[in-house]
Amino acid sequence: MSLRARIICFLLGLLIIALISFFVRRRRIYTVHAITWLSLGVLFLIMGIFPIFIEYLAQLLGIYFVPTAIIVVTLGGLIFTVLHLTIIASEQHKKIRSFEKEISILKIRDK
Amino acid sequence: MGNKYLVVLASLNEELAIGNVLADIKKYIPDADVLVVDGYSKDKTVEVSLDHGAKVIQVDKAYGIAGAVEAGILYASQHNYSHLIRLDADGQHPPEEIAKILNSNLANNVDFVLGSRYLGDADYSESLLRKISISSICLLLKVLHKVNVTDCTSGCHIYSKNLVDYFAKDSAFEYSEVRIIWMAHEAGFKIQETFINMAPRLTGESSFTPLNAANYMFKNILDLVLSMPVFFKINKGKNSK
Repeated sequence: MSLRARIICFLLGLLIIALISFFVRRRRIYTVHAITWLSLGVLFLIMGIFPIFIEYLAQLLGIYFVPTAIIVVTLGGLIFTVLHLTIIASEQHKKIRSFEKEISILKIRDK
Repeated sequence: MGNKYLVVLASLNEELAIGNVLADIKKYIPDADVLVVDGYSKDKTVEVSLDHGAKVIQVDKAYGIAGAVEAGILYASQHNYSHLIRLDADGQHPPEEIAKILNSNLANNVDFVLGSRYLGDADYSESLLRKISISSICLLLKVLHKVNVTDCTSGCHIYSKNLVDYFAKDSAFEYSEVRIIWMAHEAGFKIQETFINMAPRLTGESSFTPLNAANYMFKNILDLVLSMPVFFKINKGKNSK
């Protein structure tokens, strides 16, 4: 992997971590939701610092052009993040639903 | 509380029909409380229901009939009713028939009484498309979940206190006429089907349109297939909050 690709990878990782920490500190993102994003950032950092991992992965997957493996890893990380979000959304759906029921019962009308 | 019934009617824009239904319920099942779960109707459904002595709660119609019946289940569980009777608010299930069922069948230990229009000669008959969809869902229920019912989309259900408590505790439960059948079966409740004579709808608009029907079919089939008890029972131990 070329030095330039490694630097870009490293900077991208730093950018993700900085951005997410910024939002967490501003309380725009809850810590639980930040976990997957931060892991993705750390993954980028590792790929930038130790390219041996990504080269090994590329060899394992039969990818001849090594930087493509970066995209594969990114895609995997993003799919995982979206899955995590879907689970959280479903949990919230469940909670809002039960709130709606409980509140409707509290607001019961009778004559 | 002793033997007290709660009738749950899910309604949306039913001001013409619901008055008669409520009057009939008072006449034939006098010891029942009535809970009308309204989806913020635009007409006078709420006022008419209140005038007939029913309790009214309002659940946004975005939650559909599922949210309405779940709210009814929650209410019944909180107030210790011995049986919950879930009927359609359009008067499809005549309360006198329900009274007959209540008098005859609730003595033995049945948790779930299902009113079926196919076990006898009902006055009400539906379109061929609807018959086909109902029988195919029933077939799926039989094949995938080993539940034998003839009318799985019937809106006439009677739940015992045990069943109501079980589903009230289950915060992830989303009601549908079909889903509650196999979930109750899986949880080991005894289901019994009896004949109920259904009357044709007289007023108001049915929610049954081709698009809705396709949506309903798709959701039910997806649900039935995804919930197949392949290696283990799905909803076992997942009822904690």
